[in-house]
Amino acid sequence: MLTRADLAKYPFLSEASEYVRELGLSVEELSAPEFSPVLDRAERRLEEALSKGRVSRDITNESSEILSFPVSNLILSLVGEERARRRFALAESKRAYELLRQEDPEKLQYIASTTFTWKVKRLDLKLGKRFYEFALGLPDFLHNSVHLREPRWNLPNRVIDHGFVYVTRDEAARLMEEEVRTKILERSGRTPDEVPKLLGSRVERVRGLVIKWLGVQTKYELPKVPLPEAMPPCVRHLIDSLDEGKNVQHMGRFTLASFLLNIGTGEEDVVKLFKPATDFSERMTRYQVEHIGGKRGGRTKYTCPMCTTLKTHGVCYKPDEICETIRNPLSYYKTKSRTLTLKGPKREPN
Amino acid sequence: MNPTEQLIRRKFQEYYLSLDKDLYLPPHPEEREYGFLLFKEKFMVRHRGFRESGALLKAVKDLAPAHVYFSTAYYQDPTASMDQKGWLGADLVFDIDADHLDTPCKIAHDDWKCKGCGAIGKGSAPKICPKCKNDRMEVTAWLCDRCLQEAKEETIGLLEMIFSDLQLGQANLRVYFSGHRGYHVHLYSEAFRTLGEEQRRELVNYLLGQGLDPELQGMEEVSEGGVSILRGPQWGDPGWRGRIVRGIYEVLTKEGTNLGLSANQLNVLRAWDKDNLFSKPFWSSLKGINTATWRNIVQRAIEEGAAKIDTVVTTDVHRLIRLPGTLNGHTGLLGVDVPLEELDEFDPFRESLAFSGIMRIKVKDSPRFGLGGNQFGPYQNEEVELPSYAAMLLLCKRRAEPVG
Repeated sequence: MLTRADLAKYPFLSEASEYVRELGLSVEELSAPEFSPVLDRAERRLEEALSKGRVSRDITNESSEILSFPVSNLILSLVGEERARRRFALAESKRAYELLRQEDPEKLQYIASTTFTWKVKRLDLKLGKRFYEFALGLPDFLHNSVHLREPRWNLPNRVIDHGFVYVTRDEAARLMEEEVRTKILERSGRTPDEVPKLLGSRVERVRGLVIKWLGVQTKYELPKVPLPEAMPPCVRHLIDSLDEGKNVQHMGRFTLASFLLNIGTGEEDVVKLFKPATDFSERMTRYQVEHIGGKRGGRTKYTCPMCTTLKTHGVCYKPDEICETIRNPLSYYKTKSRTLTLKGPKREPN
Repeated sequence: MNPTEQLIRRKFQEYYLSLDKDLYLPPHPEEREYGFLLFKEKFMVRHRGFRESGALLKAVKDLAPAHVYFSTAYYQDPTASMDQKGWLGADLVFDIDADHLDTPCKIAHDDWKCKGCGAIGKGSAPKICPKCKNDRMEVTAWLCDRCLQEAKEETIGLLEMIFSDLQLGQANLRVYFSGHRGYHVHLYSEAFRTLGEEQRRELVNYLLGQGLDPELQGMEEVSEGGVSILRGPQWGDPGWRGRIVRGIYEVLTKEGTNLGLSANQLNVLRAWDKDNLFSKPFWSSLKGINTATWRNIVQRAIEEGAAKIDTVVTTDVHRLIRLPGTLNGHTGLLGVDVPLEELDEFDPFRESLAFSGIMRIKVKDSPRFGLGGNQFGPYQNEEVELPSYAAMLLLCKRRAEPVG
């Protein structure tokens, strides 16, 4: 089914790993001059990902294309920079998507059902304006679709038939992109048993590239004193409602308390906020706030609910542009307080 | 414990001690957590593990708890603390409860009391207190034939949706009567086991039709010769496409006249070929329905087709849920494993009885109710002798006290 050219296009395939394994090369053996194109390509993959967010698709040398991919992952795991790992996974998966969407359906089905172990059926069905070529197993669809935000990826907007979700060819490729991204992220996160000496200089060079393109990682710490201006609209609305003596329902109260505690607000200050509530009981409120903070009961410190949950419960309020980019009110706070305190957004190469 | 609780606990213990068969155990019992809610101070015993039914039954006999639970989740070490358990996956579970259904009889048998200001009312509790805007309510719910019938019908609807949309097989699906006001559907499936909360939320949204965009399900407005007409999916299309069509047909034929259809249009509609419901003549025969009304009709069709599940139960991947075959402390009735093919005929008021014999109790007040094929009540401040199952229901519901 697959040719060597296919393995060069999709070096994340099980068959590609098998091909590399069969060559039985150790990292030390890669230092031989004839393998320098492999190491060069491995480094270039990373540089392309870091600089452009895309890995090039032209294949000149099939074996170095196949062999370089695991080396890139190895280097990345040695560099140990999460930002770089994410960026590489994204760039490689975008490359895969561009190639996959042009592939013929048999090959797509083959790859999805072998390397990804998805349940895949072929379809040939036009419903309304859409032409469905595949049906994917519901769990396989869900594991990947939840990362995608357009309404068409929401399950209620899909056609599901006996545990299979209908998708177009392009959608299948898009979901495979997600699977590739997750797989690469996992792979580059494994720490190798030993650090191959040969790669030392390459690793250093990639460290330099990370700094060049992503900047020095400013370990950004949240402001010591909570910044009200950096709070998301929903939280500010909750505070205003309480202040005006309006009733705030359970999910709203929980959101507010967990949000404030997570950004470092003192328990006393949180308790005080609830004072205007009609049914305020200082003892109960303190107990609950301490519970959410992890000092009581199950001793779990609760984090703030996700935006999707807040939408379901009607706590989400007038979402703004930052809301479009985040999934949890705490990320909103992180993003906005960084902008406010660092004066201007962090440099994000595109 | 007050005298009522003491009596209930004693009866529960007698029941469990007299059991001569093993308790039902879910698949992979050794990977699950078990919990018991005790009568004494409503204390919850959690993080217990059992490898086999005998050991579990022994614990139940010793503790005589008000409720027995098992986790829908599988753990490496079920007895460890929550963050040390090692979550391996969880069954996909759906809960349909009369509490979430809008049955007309609730006004007659349910009461609520606001925990904030003490305001009281009849029927389903409002989301917020009309007087003080508090959202915490104390609900006194009765279990009635009508509510449970409706819960069963919703459950059957849910099952149809599960079979037609979510999966093919019936082999790994079980339905349990909760012993109170509803049914639990458990899907023991390897493929669904590892779904996280986000993925389960998607499934919930699907079953509820929440966030469904009719346009993405094939409802479209197109212009033909300068006239804007609606086009839509077919009656027999898979998933929500077909479900919407069937729902629209239902809504229109039921309430067409209220929605602006003429008698003639209704007749045309009723005689319509369902297999081709959305062909052009269908729409042209429905002229005069404006866009806003259409949106309303589609929304109603979605509600009609949705399975009214409790969202929290399905999305919680660490949930403890009632073990079938054990007593429900709210009623003294048993949770029952109902074989799928018997669900239609299942009568919770006959097939969940645990207690035999006769008891004398003092009833404070009780509506008329049927249980075990007999009718009882209404009672108001009177001492009565009843079959034990009926007496236990009133005691568990705190509508009665022991005599003497």
